[in-house]
Amino acid sequence: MYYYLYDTFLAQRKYRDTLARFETRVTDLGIQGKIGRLTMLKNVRELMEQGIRKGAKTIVICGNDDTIFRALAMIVDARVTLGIVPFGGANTVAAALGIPDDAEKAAEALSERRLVRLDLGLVNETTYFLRDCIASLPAVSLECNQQYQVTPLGRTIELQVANLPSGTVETAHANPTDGHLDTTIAHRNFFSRLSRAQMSYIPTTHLTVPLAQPKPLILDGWNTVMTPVTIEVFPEALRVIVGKQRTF
Amino acid sequence: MFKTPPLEGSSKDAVTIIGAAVKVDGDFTGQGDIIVEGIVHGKLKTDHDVRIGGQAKVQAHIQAANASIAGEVRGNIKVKERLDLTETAKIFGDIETKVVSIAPGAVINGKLTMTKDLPPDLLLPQSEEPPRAKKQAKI
Repeated sequence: MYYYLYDTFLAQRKYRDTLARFETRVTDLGIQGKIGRLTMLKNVRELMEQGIRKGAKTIVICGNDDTIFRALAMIVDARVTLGIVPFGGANTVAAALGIPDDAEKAAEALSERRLVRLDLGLVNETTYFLRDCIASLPAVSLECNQQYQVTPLGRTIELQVANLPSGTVETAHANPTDGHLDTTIAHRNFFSRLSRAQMSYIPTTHLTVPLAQPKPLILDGWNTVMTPVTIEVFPEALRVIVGKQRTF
Repeated sequence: MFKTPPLEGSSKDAVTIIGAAVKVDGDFTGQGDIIVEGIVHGKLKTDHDVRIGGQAKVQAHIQAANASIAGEVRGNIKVKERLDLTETAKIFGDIETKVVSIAPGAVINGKLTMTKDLPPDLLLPQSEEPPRAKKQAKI
């Protein structure tokens, strides 16, 4: 059974026609299901629990990256399949997975049901991330794959651990089915700009940031974890419906 | 971001780039090609290709399928196929390779062993002893 989770912004008048066309297409394709609408009073957790209790095997997120990231942990823990119908701006995940921007075409991609198992990033064995983990840190030796140490020679570093391409050049190599995370270590130059010539790119399965001083790492652009942290790949943790045009 | 093109014959495996602003200590085993522009201490091993940049300083044993070296390497180098040493290369260690290309100006301080397979007609059958010089008859 499909459970469609609508983000709060879909209640806006401008989405009314698009949603009506989408719902008609979903019915035509025979993939209709229950609908849960996020509101100020109903959060993602509540609605997801409700959907899973009702027997949903596929949770379709109708929203943007933010909606997906907030529902991620519950989808992984409940071992249900994730489907995406992109609405609004900031849909890097849908783009990477090859889901068309048009809601009706996205419904067709859902009905074709191409399933792929994606790796996730796992921080301190408790918190997942799908796209990336970003931090600005003082120079610290990073332990990679429990085999070697990478020591930055500058004073501060910009650390990015990517799992999914997000449309930037830095994450273009990222592939969530390759069994590793793509660690980029960059430095800022005199003008506080990233010095691309000095960037390091290291595929890792296990990364430790042993910084005792608490510094924030931003997971998927919304969740924060403080150092020290251990980041590892959680292989094939998420089952997701992808489109033909996926970037990996 | 990374304008350096992958080495020829590279695989789909991820390329590792050790930038000029980092130092790596330990056993570095890569799954794909490795490009070194910074400092490496320990061991560098891959089934694919290694490129050591002109400013790189490597104090490690290197093992790879192909290698191109422009920087300084202190350690033994074992290459399965082809080793290219540019004019700025400085090697302090033994080299083992099948094919080598050394540009004028490259420095090698160590033993160079070529492991190229000999054609079958030049190989002796195992049971046959190598030919000896005929003994001269005593007069």
